[in-house]
Amino acid sequence: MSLRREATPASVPAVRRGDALDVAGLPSYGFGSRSLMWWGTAGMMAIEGCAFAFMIVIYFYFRALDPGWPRGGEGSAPDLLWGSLNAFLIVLSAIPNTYVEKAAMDRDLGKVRKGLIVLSAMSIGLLVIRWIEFKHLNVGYDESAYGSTVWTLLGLHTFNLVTDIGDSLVLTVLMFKGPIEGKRFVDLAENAGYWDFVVLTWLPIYAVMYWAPRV
Amino acid sequence: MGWAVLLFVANVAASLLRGRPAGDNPWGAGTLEWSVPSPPPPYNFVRIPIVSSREPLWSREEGTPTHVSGLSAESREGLVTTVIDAIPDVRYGYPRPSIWPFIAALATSSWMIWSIYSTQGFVWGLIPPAIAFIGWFWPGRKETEEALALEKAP
Repeated sequence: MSLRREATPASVPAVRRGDALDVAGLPSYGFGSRSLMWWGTAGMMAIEGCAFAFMIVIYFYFRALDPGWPRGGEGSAPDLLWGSLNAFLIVLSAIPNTYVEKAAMDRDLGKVRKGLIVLSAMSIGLLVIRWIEFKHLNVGYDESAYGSTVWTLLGLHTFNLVTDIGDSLVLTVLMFKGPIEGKRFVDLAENAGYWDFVVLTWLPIYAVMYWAPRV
Repeated sequence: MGWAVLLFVANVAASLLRGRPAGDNPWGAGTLEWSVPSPPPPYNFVRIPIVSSREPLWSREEGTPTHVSGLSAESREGLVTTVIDAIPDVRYGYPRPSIWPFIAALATSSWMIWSIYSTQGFVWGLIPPAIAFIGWFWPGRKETEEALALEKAP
């Protein structure tokens, strides 16, 4: 209980000493919006989220101009299997991710390590599936407006996916190898927040890439 | 416009030759930047000032503290406040200077140039920046020990 109360901003007041305001007793790190990197990550999500939204708008704009979209009719839409498998696994990965986030906020190293191992294994599986996905897009990136749009859309999401998997793997190694300080648990919580973003953005992109050509 | 520049240059020359030195705050301005000596020292403020109005040099609320104390003198500590009310909240330990940001800048620029000329470069060129960013992040033992000595959990 006390942990949660102390996690609220300005819960430890600075102390007045003469003309000075003594801040030596303040915590040296904080979770959520108390952390500077939280704001950086939120800004990054805003930028990347806008890029995804623009690409989806571009997708439908080109589609409205091109009656043969995707070229060759329904048969040339990306294969449903791999994208759907990815969507399933990525939503499933939210479970160990939330587990790691909670454990990080409780600063429970044992639980953090357990969760990170599961998350790392799943994320490597996701990378393999993503690789196969690219092979089953059924269109070249330089073939048509459709091909370029689909490759860019999947490429943008893959960029975020690879970045966050890299971050997760680096943090996993660090949690086993050290050196660890309290601030690193904030890094873990923020990494988990970004993973949520990667999971949530895949759902609309998956719907557009795999279902829009079929309806 | 040529005349304006000429007038400016003439003014500079005249001031240099026979002007009186202006001092730190020649206009008696009220904002914080005028409280430091001229030219300003590289660290700007010896102690973080506390302000309660837009013109703190003109008006000061009676009985309020004038500056912040308690930040580490050995390590690079900054102060993070709450967003709206600016109440001191967290002592934030900044990383030490390192060569990695420079290497990251070189690696990122090389990737961008490579990606213009080759599709392969667009993918494989990302590896050097990734290494640079990991190197930048990776905490050293000594640095971590210093941080642990100053650490207070929230």
